[in-house]
Amino acid sequence: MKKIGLFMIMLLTILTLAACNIDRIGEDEDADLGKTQLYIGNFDGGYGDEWLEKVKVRFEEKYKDVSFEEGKKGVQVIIRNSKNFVGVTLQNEIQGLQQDVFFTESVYYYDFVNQGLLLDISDVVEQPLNYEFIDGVENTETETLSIEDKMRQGHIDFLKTPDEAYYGLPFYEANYALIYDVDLFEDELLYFAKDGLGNSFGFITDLEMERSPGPDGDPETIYDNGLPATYEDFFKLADYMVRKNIVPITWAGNVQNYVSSLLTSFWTDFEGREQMMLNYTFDGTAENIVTGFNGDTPVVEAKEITTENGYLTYGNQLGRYHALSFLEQLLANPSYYNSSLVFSPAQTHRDAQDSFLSGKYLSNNDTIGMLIDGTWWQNESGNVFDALEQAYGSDASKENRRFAVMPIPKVDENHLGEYTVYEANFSMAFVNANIDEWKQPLAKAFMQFVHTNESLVEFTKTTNTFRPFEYEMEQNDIDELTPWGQSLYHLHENASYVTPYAYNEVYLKNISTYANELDIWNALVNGDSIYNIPSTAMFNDDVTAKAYFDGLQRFWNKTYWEDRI
Amino acid sequence: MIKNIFKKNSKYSLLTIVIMIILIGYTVSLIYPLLWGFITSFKGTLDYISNPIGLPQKLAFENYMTAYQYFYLTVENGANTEYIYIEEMIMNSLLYSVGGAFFATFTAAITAYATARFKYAFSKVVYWIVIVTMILPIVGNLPSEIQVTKALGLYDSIFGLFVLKANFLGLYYLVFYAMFKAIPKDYEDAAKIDGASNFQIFFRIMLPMAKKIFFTIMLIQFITFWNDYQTPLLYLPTKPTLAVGLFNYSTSTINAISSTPVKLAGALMVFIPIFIVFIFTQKRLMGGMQMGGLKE
Amino acid sequence: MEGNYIDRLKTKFKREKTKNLLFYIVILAFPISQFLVFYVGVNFNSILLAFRGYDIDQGKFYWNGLDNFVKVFNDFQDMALFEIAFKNSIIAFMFGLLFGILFGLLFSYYIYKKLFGHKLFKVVLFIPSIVSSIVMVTIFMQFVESGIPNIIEQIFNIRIMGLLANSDLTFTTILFYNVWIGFGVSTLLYVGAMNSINISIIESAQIDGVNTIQEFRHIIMPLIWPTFTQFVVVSVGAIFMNQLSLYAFYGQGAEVRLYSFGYFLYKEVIVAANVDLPYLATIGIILTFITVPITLVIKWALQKYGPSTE
Repeated sequence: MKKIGLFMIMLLTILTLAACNIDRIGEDEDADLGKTQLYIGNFDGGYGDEWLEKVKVRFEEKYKDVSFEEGKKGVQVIIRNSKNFVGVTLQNEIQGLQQDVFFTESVYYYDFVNQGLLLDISDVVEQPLNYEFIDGVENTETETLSIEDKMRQGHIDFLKTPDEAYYGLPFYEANYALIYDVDLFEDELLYFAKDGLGNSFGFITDLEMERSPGPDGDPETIYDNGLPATYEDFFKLADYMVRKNIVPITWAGNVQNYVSSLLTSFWTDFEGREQMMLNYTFDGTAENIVTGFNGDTPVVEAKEITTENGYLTYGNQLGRYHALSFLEQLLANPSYYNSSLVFSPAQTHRDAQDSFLSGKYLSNNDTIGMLIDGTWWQNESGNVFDALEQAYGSDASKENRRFAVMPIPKVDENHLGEYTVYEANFSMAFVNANIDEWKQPLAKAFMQFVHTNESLVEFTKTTNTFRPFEYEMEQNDIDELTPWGQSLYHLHENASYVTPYAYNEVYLKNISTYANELDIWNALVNGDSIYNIPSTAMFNDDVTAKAYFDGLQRFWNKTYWEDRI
Repeated sequence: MIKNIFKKNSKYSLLTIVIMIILIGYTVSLIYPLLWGFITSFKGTLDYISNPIGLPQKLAFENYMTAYQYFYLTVENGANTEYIYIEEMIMNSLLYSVGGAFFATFTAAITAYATARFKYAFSKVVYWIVIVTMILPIVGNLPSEIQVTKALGLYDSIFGLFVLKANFLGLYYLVFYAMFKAIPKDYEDAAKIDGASNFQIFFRIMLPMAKKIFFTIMLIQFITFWNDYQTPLLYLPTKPTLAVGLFNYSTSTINAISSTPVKLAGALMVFIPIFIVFIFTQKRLMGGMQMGGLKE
Repeated sequence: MEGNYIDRLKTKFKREKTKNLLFYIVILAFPISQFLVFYVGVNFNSILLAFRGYDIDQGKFYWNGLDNFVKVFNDFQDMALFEIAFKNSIIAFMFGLLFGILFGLLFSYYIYKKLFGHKLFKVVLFIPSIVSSIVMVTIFMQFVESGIPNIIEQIFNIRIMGLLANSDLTFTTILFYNVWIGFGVSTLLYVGAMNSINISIIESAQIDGVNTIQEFRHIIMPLIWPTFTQFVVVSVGAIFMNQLSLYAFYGQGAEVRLYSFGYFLYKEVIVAANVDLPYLATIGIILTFITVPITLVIKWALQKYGPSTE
């Protein structure tokens, strides 16, 4: 025993000595007393801070000769990353924080605004980008558009307050998606062939063969050609993959709400932007309200939606039923996924990414075709890309391996059309209202700087994701993106986006429910049990799609709604 | 040993052999996962994915470096976000565990001494309070306890936890009580003749006699407090201990520490020191636990 | 002269008594105050909380009468989670009693008899008691989710789900875990109690030709019955406090079907605002009133009907 003890002491000593040289996470760079500090708070999540570090360098360079305080010249941008810079935690603490500008998520915007926590940045949003906030500085920016010109209408409608002021801007554009391995699809010829071509299963037999038009039904949009257009196609693809010993899909076992969020993406894509927005605006005609079933076929009616009956879209919208049906069919076939991983509480989102990325190279591991994750996933999986590159060469690197978003398949051939994306996570950028008045122009200049075309393009090239603004990327910029980033470019350019926000009392009072990936799927199933994770309900408790959908209607009812309006 | 089993009048019987088999099974079931965890903590990402149960192809010491680097918590303290690193957590743990163990043990000791050596009616009351509270379950008084702690200004204070934990209820009071009760009165009488005060008698004669039991109980309490993450999680929001840090670490979704080998490295990093303490004090620790057997 | 002497003796005696009393009071001042505040006071406050509500706008507690009790009773009947928590808490207790206490006794007996490997087994049984529950849970979870399925696949070439992922096995795995780590302290306490048995009793029984089972049943058990009773009574008392280590496994996110009352109460308190405290306190009071009589009855029954040392 004592020998074991001595061995442990030795091990501990070695590890302690080795730890002496380790850089600590989170320690701010030392403040340069000869400069003015601008403090940035960045949510420590999937987007990292590399993009901010690049902005810092250029911003500091731009204002290096400007004096903001007596006796000082230039600005020093100090970035702090914290998991606490998020949502309600940030809301409770922001007044006491040192940070001037924040990039964060899970923000209930009007809660912040109504408590006076955010600085009015209307001038930042509405002035052209070549407007200079700092006196005495000649702005060399050539962009004449304003930030508002580049925003989505959904964001403008929500973020512009009734008294016509802006207090925040959207931070990142993210959604939950099906991510597929393009290299694998090409190696194994997993694309649908154009009608009349292909093998007996309907798939291409070589890469030159013409492919089917994909979910949008348009052969001109190449990025989705050959991908499953309908649910039926998707499961044909899954069966075909199983025949080839490929596990079609995987996800994180301990984050089942990724699957729930994917269902929300399915729901959104089915309904389309206008119909989906009824879930937030409660103002319009819902075309797809399920009022009953004729056997297995939902009976659908149009209903006027107001704040009094907003529960109807949550409980009865057809898109939800279709999404649940898709999931039911997916889970019904155990060969579509590895159940020991996708329902394991020990499998994290990183484990799922690791399995997805490494299956191709490791002979005793599953080759996996698709991953359910957020569109920021590649930023999170840097470590395993590095390990794969080290072990298998540059073809295995993040820059060279090809992944893409699989547009959500449509419920059937009658519904082919554009891809509608549900924008997730309620991300936001804003300025702390407690900032000193003399520093406000500097913070505004920074906010403006981050939204120039150059900065937006740099963000995308660094993170391989997009911000929800219109911005121009040259072909060489696009070529610098990883294949995944290029796939997101197609999405950014071609898809219709649902911004799940609205300015009305009912929405604002209940925003925490609409923003919650779990609560949005609350259903009363098996008597009075509240379920909010469809995947585990179906897998563990054999709840059918119809039963879950019925449960949605039982939960989202008039009584429940009346308590909330 | 096999021969002994079959000897006549051997202490081995069917019952004891069955128990032995179960114990061997239990030992394997405990040691194997611990060993597996230890081995896995030295695997690289790909190594683990391709070979979850074998030996590492290459020792990935960097897992421990990563675990050490990311073993931190952030707390919002007024104007600042404070980063609490492992060294500070260790200090908080040491303070909480040593101080808490000392005050808890000392309180039990002095209460037991007073009630065992001084035959006031109140001594019997205290004794029966201990017995009754041991069998009387109180469920769900945590909300009230938090309220009272906050009202007394003891919340978010390690000293406050000392006060919270320094009670005489429980088994250890009975152990001290039995010990002090058994000491002959002659020691006291002799000391009084020499002019010693009650305080002197307690601190210079009685407590030293209870030294072995005192330190054993303190050691047991120390380990309990060291491993306790739930109390500091509730009561020390800005002064996390190592156990709280480990809880946060093990549930963290930070990418660098989300893989299994690195998670295990963090867990074992915390386990190794206490295991070392155990190896060198196991006789005292386990011997001390054994004395707690109760008689009617 | 003699009277003076007696008077002086009386005075000295009185002074001695006063000194003793003063010392007694001083030394007990802190422990008794602590008890009055943190046991009596806290529990009294808990009872008071159960009769109060919290006004968010005014930031104050107000008298609520029996409203909390009515709500809790209704919720106990209507909400599936409480039915599940009741059921799981009782199953966990029965499981712990059957496997934990029974095996604990048998293991202790083995160690007490100093049979083959007793030193090693004693240490092994105790290891989980010194290791942080987070460490044990992390290793256990990874092993049953990744280690065991991979071993099975390598040996038998069949793919199984992890024991926690498999919904049919999740709860049983959690119960197993709690028994698996729970032997240490109880085993040693039983061994301590067994060691205090007079060796001559054992020896004379052996001379009389008593076998192991008879020795265990008729000698050991009766003589350690008080310790055994203590454990059973404490286990009964803790039925609704047992968290089943769920917080270490799942944090706030355990599935409802796994809930025990102990887990539910702890996880709710962690995130509770003032407005939530009265409801939680009421649940605690009701559960206490259920558990106390059961505990006392069990204690009485074990003492009355337990084996006699005669």
